[in-house]
Amino acid sequence: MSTPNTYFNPSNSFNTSSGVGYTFRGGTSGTTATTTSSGSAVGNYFRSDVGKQTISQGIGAALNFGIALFGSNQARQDMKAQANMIAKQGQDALAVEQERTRQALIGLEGAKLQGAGAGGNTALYIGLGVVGVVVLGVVIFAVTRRSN
Amino acid sequence: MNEQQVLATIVGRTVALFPMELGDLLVKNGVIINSDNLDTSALVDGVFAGLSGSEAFKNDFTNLVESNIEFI
Repeated sequence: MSTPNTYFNPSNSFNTSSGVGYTFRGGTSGTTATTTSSGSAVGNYFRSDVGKQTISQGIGAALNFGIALFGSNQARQDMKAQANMIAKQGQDALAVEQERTRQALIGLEGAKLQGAGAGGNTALYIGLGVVGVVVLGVVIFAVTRRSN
Repeated sequence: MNEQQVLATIVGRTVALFPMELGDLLVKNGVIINSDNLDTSALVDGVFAGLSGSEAFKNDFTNLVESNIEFI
């Protein structure tokens, strides 16, 4: 099993014990384990199977079940705290990914500039070569003419 | 993961990914009147308030989640 993504491993976020078998990439809770070491932090965090699980259960049903637990003030506070934590982790994941994208763009811009610089030098060398040939031709012509 | 945790996960991820859309939905359904400068906590509070108090918001929220389930 590959090392879970420690930033966004949902299993770090929940104390799960229902054994429902929710599966996360980069971490696991319940009985099913699927991990992958590839993909971005955001991908690992957001592309978990929570959505697929709730689709199979019906999102409306999941919402209704969850909302039914609103009766307890403590339950409501717990849900809010958990949702807040997850939202902040998600925003952090997005910020990290945005920074990575920004750095990658900077790298690409640098490579592009280097490429342009290399193209410019090539043109310079060709130009110098042509000038050299012309000068050499003029010298040879002058010398040949003088010797005649 | 129990239903409570599923709902908290859905709300948390939706707030992280779609804060502007959620702000619009909350305003549209009268849960809040101004979505400017909503921070994460305010959005989470608003979503839970909307889910418990507004059937229209609950439907809109469900539609938002279902149509973006690939990302959530």
